[in-house]
Formats: sequence, structure tokens, C-alpha cells
Amino acid sequence: MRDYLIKRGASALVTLGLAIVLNFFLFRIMPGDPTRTVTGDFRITPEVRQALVHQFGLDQPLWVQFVLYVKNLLMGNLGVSFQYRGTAVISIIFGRRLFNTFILMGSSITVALIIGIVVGTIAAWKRESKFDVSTVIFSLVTYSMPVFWLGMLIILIFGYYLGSIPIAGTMTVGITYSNVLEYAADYLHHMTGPFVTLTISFIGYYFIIMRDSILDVFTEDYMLTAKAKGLSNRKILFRHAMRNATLPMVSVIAIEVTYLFGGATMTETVFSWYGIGRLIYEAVVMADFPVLQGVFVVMAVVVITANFCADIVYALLDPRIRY
Amino acid sequence: MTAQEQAALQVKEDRFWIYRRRLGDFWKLYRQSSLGKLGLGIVLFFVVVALVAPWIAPYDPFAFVGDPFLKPSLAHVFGTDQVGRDIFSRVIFGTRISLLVGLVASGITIVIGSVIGLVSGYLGGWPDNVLMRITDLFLILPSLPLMLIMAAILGKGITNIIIVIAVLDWTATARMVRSQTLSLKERPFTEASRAIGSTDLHTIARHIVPNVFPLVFANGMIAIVDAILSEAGLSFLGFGDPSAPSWGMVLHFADTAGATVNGYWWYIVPPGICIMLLVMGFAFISYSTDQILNPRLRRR
Amino acid sequence: MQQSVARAVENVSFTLKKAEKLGLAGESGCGKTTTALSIMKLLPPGGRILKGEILLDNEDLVKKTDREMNSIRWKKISIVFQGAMNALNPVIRVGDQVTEAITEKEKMSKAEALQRARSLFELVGLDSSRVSDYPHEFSGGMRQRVMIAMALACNPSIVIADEPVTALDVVVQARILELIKELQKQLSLSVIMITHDLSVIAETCDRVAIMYAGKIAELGKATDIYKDSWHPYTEALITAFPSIAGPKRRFNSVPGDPPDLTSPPTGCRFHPRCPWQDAMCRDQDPEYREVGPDHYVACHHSEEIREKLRGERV
Repeated sequence: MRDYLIKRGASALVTLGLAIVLNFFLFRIMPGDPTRTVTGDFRITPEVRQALVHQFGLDQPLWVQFVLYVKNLLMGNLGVSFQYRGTAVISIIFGRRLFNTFILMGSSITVALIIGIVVGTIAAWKRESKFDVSTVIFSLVTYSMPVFWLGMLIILIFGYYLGSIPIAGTMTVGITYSNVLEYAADYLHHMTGPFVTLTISFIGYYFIIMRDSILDVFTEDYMLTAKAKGLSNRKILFRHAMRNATLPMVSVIAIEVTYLFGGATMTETVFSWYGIGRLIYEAVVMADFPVLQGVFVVMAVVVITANFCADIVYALLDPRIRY
Repeated sequence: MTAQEQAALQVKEDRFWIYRRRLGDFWKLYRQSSLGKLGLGIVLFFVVVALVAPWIAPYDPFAFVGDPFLKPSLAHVFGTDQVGRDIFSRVIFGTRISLLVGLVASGITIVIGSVIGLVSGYLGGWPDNVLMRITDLFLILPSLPLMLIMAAILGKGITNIIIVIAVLDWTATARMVRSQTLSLKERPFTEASRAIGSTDLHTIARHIVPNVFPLVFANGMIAIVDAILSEAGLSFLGFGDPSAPSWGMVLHFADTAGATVNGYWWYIVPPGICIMLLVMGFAFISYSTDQILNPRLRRR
Repeated sequence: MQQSVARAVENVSFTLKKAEKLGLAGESGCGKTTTALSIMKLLPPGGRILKGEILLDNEDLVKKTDREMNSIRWKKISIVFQGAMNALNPVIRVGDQVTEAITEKEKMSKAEALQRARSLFELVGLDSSRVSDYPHEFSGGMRQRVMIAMALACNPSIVIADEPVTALDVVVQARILELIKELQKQLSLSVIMITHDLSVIAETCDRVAIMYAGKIAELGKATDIYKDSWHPYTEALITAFPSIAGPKRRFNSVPGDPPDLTSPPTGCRFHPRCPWQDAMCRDQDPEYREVGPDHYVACHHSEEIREKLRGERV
């Protein structure tokens, strides 16, 4: 097990390294003067610009720039934002926005996972029943919908027609809260729209994967053994089938974190949720390259770490790897 | 004609009939799947709409033909947008762009992915390692944010969207083609081909590619689906070409016009449903093709 | 991708006495496993028992619901499958797989059940400390022992062994068969031994049913089947084994393949491969009749065939 983890860890580090290299060169292929992706334009004062040229070695050969880039990265210096006039990128990312995105993403992935696993298991068991067919159709429909369109529909139906959720933002503007609970309630109220959108867009995928996984498990011999022992259906399903079927799910979850970033970007933009996803959109529109470069790195780290954690969890769950 | 030339011609002719028969067998099986027929029907429907758009659209999609934000009526089946253009016509013409970008972008994606997969699987060794590392990297990085970043760098427009999608979406195809190539490499006919002295290129072209092709086709449907959804997303965020609006772009205009907050549902629902239906069409085709080509699935 | 109906088992009828070892022998696909699964009502979806009864302690199992069967499964009848690699759940410890049947049916505490599991392991020749191991940590032969221990967990009176040694090498085969014989004697079990290997039958069984294409070709005492067979198929199977001791003779095998059970041959299902077939065999299904004390056969021409063969027999 230790060797396995060391191997996977090394692999993760190599991938991270490649990501950093990609990140560096991606922003250098811009037409025109590549250094302006760091020093920017009129929004940055000349003094700050000077400091940047010095920190990132923009007057030096490319490989020196790369080394300095990595050095700055490790020190937490991700450059300064254009649209926020010189604010350090790192403080923009690792602030309120990250928290908001984390709460939103974390809760929707958890709920989608739980519902997807349970419903997928039941659907596989009651294969070809009305329940199964309707849930498969539901998954197919939600998979085929663009996420942003789903968001728009939810705003339309629940925001405009029913008026039960706020149309945008993380917080109602201009209110003061008397206590933490009121604050949390308002926050959650605003999160309902994006949360529902993200969760629905992901349930379908988890559901199908789980269902397929369980159907595969059903063809295994040990399922027949379990039935021959006269165990109750519930026990066969949840104790024998699910334990084996959830193994592929672990890898799937890791990959899903990747898709979650895309979905969150869309959803946060549609709902004006003050998070990293919306930051990406705003930065793209405002041509704020340092922010984009910084977010890229953060995303890469998160995704690679998530995959590595999935490897660990998989090793813990599957005794064949452990011993 | 010499005997040798005659024999070569006969082989070519035989091969043609073998392919034709294989295609015929495939089609016979495919015809039995109602889901497959439905998918094919949907896709063909949209293709036809795209082709005859100028003849079936009631208005010029760029002309101002009415008051803004009119509700659906006989004159304007989907109502009008914020400057009084007919949404129905815009959706019809949007079919062209959405379909075109989807097919072209995914086509390039498939080619890139297949080449990388073939080279990687066939050569093995360190080229394989390097290519797979790169593939893993692109697989793991979130595609939409990355696409947005690249769009920020390259700028707006249809061509850029196609480039951005093609550059980021090839990973799944590459992986799949590589594993197929690896397994085919071990098969006797590959060894035989090498043994009689064929060049690598010849072996790949003649033996491996025809066997990989069916799976690439099935996987290609997924690539098309991804491309359509990606294009819709990028256009929605404003990176499309306003002079050639796809369905995603129409929704972008809807959003900027405040359609959601003002309840202009006719602006929002039709383009989205079109995207959804087209995607479902390709998904059905992919599912049916997969059922036929992957017999293990049938056992369940 | 059309579907058709296969009559996997037809008119199969036998009785199993207490502490008796009955063999079900035949080629792959002849219906022996289907018969066994039917007894425990474990047919896969799509499989159905159309007609007949299965009487255990004067109760007809065919009429029982799945839930009622659950209290019979493993407690009165249990089964040992072949190829125990996949028959055991790879992510659950073997001890737990043994105890789960016990705790569900016998109302024992988990600790007591584990104690029983340990003693069962010892009974089958495994180290009792291995109850906490996972299936992949055992070799093939040892996994089979685990399967046997598991099958005995609830003290069943009948144990079905479906190709228990087919996936093992010869030396291990012998040991496992020894074990089965030992346990059968010790615990007075009734055993149904399913196999395609006649030597296994010869080693272990009191009575044998030779099955072909879903029907019983011949049923009788093991010694009768070997020394005094009445069905040409039985004859062919036995003579297909060369004898070390006896005189050298031509190697016989049964030509052709077993029939497709979705459209079996007309008349006697064996007739296309039978060297003695005639018009009657092609038209009429032979009657399953008694030809001796507890000896049955389904063939039109057994008597004439035996006459002709008596001179040529080893």
C-alpha cells in the first residue's frame, strides 16, 4: 500500500509540474507583448509595474522568467490584478470567493452523490420498472441540458413566477442582520438557486454510473452465492452489491471535481454568486490575466489533490490493493 | 492485365464488399433499436432545418420586424427579442451555426485524439509515456475555465471557439484509441504484417485503423455532444460571433436583455430545447451504436 | 437480438435419500446446474419452473415464495459453487461471509457465530485464524475449502456441490474430494455431486443420474452404471476413458456436439450422435423406464444394444 501511494503521489507531483509549465507558457503565447500579461495596462501604476518587472524578471531571458515564476508561486506571489488595480491576486482568490464557491460546490456534490448512489442502486435493483425508466430519462434530459440554461429556467420559474428564490447575488443588498442565524438564512436562501441547478446537473451522471456499476456487479458470481445463502434482498443489495459497486464511483468522483469547476463557473455567472467561478468570468471579460493565471494554478492544485485523495480512498476501500 | 494486377484488383473489390457487408450488418442491427432510430431522426431533422433555413424561416434573422419582446403569436411563433427581431427565424438560422461548430470542432478533436492515440499506443516506450502524461493533464484540468482562459487570450469569434474546443477535448478519444491500439498490437495479424516487412505506417493504416474506426465512431458522438454543449456555453458567455448567432448566442442576448428576470420565457425556452434535443439525438445514436459494438453490454 | 425459449430441463425426476451421495453427470449445458439451481429456486431472471414439484420434508418447494425459500436456503440445503474466486465477495472478510448466514438464521450473537466459523475452518482443514483474511489471500484449493466451510455453516441436511473440483489441479482435486467424502460421512449429509468428470463420480457417489440435453438418459447405482450400463450415451462416456490396466483398444469419443436447447432434435435428443439410431429414435421420444432394481433408462433399443455389445465389452 505504501508503494502504491508513493507512486500515485509522485505521479500527482509530475502532473502538477506539467500544469505549472503549461500555465506559464499559455500566457506567453498571446499576440503582442507577452509581458503585458503580468504588468498590464493603464490600470496598474508605474511604480507597481516596476516592482513586477523586477519580481518576475520580465527583462530577462525566458528561462529565468520561468524560474522566477515558480519561485514566486511557492512564495505565494501570484502577481497583481488589473481590474482591482493592483490588489494581490492571491488575496482576491483566497478570500470570500473561495469560501462561497467551496460551500456551493461542496454541498451540491455531496447531495448529488448521495442521491445518485441511492437512487442508482434502487433503479438497478428494480431494473426496467417505471421507477428505473423514469429516473434514466430524467438523467438523460438533465445531462443534455446546458447548465446555464437550467439555471435560467430555475430563475424563471422559481424567481420570476413563484418568487421564492432571489434572482441573484449572495446576499440581499442593504440589509443589516441582527444575528448570525439571520445572516446564514439569507445566505442559504440566496444559495438555493445555484445549489439546485448544480445538484440537478450532476445527479444524472452519478446515477447512471452507479446504476451501471451495480448492474455489472449483479453479473458476478458472489451475488448468486449471497442469494443462495438466503439473505434478505436488502442485505444482498446494500452489503454485497453496493460495497463493490461504489469502488468505481470513487474514481468517478475525482473526475467529477473537474467538471464541477466548469459547472460552478456557469452557475455562479448566471446567478451572480460571488465565487471563484464568477471571478473567472469577470477576469476573462476584463482581460485580467494575472487573476486568470492565478486561478489556473489554484484549480490545478485542487483537482490534482482531489484525484490523489481519491486514490487513497480507493486503496482504503479495496482490500485487494491494501494487502 | 497481368495475373498479378488482376489479383490485386480482386482483393480491392473483395475488400469493398466486405466493408459494405459489414456496414450492412451494422445497419441491420441498428435498425432494430428504436432509440437509435429516434436519435438518427432527430439529428437528421436538425440537419435538414439547417440546410433549408433560408427557405423555411419566415423572416430575416437580423431584420427588425416588430415591437420588442412580443409574446408568441401566429406572426411570430417564438415572439420577438429586445430589438424586435423574430426569434423563430433566429433559432432556425442558429441551427446552422450550432450544428456546424459542433461537427467541425468535434471532427478536429477526433482526428487529433485518434492520431495521438494511435502514435502513443503503437510506439509505446517514452513517446507513449510523454503523450499520456500530457493527456492526463488535459483530462484533469477543468475544460470550461480553461476554454475561457484561452478565449480571453485568443479573442472572440467562431474560429476561435472551434480552436479552443478542439485543443481541449481530444483527451477521451486519445485514451480510447490508445487502449484499442495496444490490444490490437498484440494480435497475430499485426505481427504477421510486420513480419512480411510492411512499414509501420502501412501496418497502422491497413490493419489497425479499420479495427479502431468503429469505436472511434461511437466515441465521436460523445465528442460531438461535448462540442455542442461547449460552444453553447462559450457563446452564452459572450464569446460567439453576433453576426452568426448560434443557439447559445441567442440565449446570451436573452440573458443580457434580462429575459429571465422579466419573464420573457419565449426567448429562453426554445433555443435551450433545441440544444437539448440535438444533444439527446446524438446521445441516442451513441448509445445504440455502443450496444451493438460492445457485446458485453448486451449480457446485462 | 431476438429471444427464444430453451427447455433446459425436461422430465427430470429423482429421489435423494438421507446420507446418500447422488451424482449428476453429463456434458456442459446438459442441464445439471440448472436442475441444481431449480432445487434452490435460484434460477436467473428469465428462468422459470413450468411444471413439477420438489418435495423436501413433505413440502413442495416449487410452491414456495422467494421469501419462504430464504428460510430454507442454507439451513436445509446449501450449495458449493465452482471457481470460488468470484463466488466469494472480494471486499468482505471470509469469516464475515461465513457468519452472515449464521447470524441471520440461527439467532446467535456475532461472537458465537465467529466461534462456529472458526471451528468450521478447522473442520475443513484451514487454520482458524484465517477467518479475518480476504478471499484473494487464499489459493484455489483453500478457497474451495472456505466455500465448503461456508456451506456447512447452518448445518444443512443437503449439500449440492456444483463442479467443486473442476477448476483445481489434480492433486488438490483429490484432497478436496477426500474432504467432501469425510465430511459427508461425519455429518451424515446428503450430497448431490454435479460434474462432467466421470472419475469424480466414480470416487464419490452411490447413485448416478447421467443427463443429456436436459433429460436423464440413465439413472442407477454407481456400480450398475459402470459395469452394466443400458444407455448408449453412458456406454460412450465410460469407454471414452482409457483404462490403464485393461487391454489396449481404440480411443472412443462421442462425435458431434450437444444440441441447441432452443430447438432440440426430434424424438430421442441423443439420436443425431448415436451410432444405433433408427427411424423410431428420430420420431419418438423414448420412455423413461425401469430396467432393474432402482435402475432407469430412456432408450428404445437398450436390450438389442446390450446384446450386441456383450461380446465386445471389456
